[in-house]
Amino acid sequence: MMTDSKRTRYTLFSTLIAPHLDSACTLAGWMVGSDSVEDVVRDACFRAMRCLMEEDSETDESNGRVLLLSFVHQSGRAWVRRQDFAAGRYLNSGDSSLAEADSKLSGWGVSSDVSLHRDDALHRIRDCSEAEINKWLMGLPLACRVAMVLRDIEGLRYDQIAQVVGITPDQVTPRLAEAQRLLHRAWMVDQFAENERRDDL
Amino acid sequence: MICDQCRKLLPGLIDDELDSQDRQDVERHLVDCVMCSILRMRVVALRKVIRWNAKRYDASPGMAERIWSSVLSREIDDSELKPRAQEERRSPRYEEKQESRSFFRWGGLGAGIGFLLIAVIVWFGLSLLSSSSEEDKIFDSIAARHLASLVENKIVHFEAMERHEIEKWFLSLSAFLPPLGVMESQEFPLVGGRLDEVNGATASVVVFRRETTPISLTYLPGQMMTNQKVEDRQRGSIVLMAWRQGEGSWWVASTLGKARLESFVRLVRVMSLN
Repeated sequence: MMTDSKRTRYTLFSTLIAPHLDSACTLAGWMVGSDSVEDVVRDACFRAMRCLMEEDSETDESNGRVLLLSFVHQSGRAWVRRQDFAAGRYLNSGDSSLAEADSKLSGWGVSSDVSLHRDDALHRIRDCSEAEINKWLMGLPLACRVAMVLRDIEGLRYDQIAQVVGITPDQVTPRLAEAQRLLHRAWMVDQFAENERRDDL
Repeated sequence: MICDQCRKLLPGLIDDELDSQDRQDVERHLVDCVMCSILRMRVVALRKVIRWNAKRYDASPGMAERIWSSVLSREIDDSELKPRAQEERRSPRYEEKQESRSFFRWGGLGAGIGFLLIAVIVWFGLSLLSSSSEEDKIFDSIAARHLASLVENKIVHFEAMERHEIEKWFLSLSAFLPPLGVMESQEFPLVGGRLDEVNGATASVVVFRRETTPISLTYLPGQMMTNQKVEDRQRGSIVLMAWRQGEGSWWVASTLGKARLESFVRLVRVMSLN
């Protein structure tokens, strides 16, 4: 037999948390990798439940999603920090491969001889494989990756992204702009590498 | 507007999140600047590809149920016991307790495994000869559960060092609360709680220890024991004792020697009356 308190908790869990577990897993997966998804989501669910139990105001279903994702973001960041600390990555100031790429590409890396109607890059972008997309996305800094996942995979509005990440809505645009720039750069680096390989052949 | 400003506002334009002034400025710049227009188209294409092709992680089958049961068990553990645990961590005895706990967990494990293998073999032999009486069936069941908890290394489902922690845990699971009374002893410290299936029903088990040897104490409501005096049995290396007290009966199982277990039973009989 369920007690009243247990029933209330179950109602909150089944209406506000359980329907958004796929979204939670997607965000957690892009933050911590597939092996630790369940640990992070479980921790986030627990925190979200505690918050819902303490909160007096009513939470509707879409707020439940934002609430859960915000706890996934917190738990995921804590997990990433622990992993970075354990691996000594907190000592590294930057990524050398990215710095090298920056030296080859200035700014956004669009060469000035490309004209609007002759840019065949669009076709090449459309032909990108899933593996390439995942590699570029995974190569983004965490803050940019989270913003892009929440916007482009989960389809959240900017105000919802701001709530999840704990920033103001004005700060979402710069993160996405940086994510776009880095994504475009990663694509360009791969294009250069591809061209060089073709030249060698 | 310069290109750099335009590129920083591009996501807002693509996602329709710009205010009207910024939108006009960016659109005007895009008409004049070929490079920024190219970039916009590439970025739109890249983001479309991400939307369609990027990996999505779905919840694994049964994940909701697993998380729900975890939420239930952690509810008490974290929200109510954490302040107490933090207080305890500040106490000078904390490290000593932790050391003793970790010794209990790992120190006895190596010796325990060898011992248990012998116990399993002996117990299976003896179980064939077990009596068919109701009391003996319960003794068998208690011995089997105790043995299983040792073999599976799940001596407790919930660790606790204080009686009220165990009580809260049992209550949170709507499990029967054993009438423990003031059961506090340095010789037999509390380890935690466990839920076992005894004779087809769920039974609340409180686990104590003597040095590294666990002792399972089960209370079964109802008159399952007729004798108020302590009866004992041996199933392989497991010593079992039981007696009727009040409206129910206590059942003790351990690989501790009989003499030591008797002193534990004396303690339970006295303490549970308080």
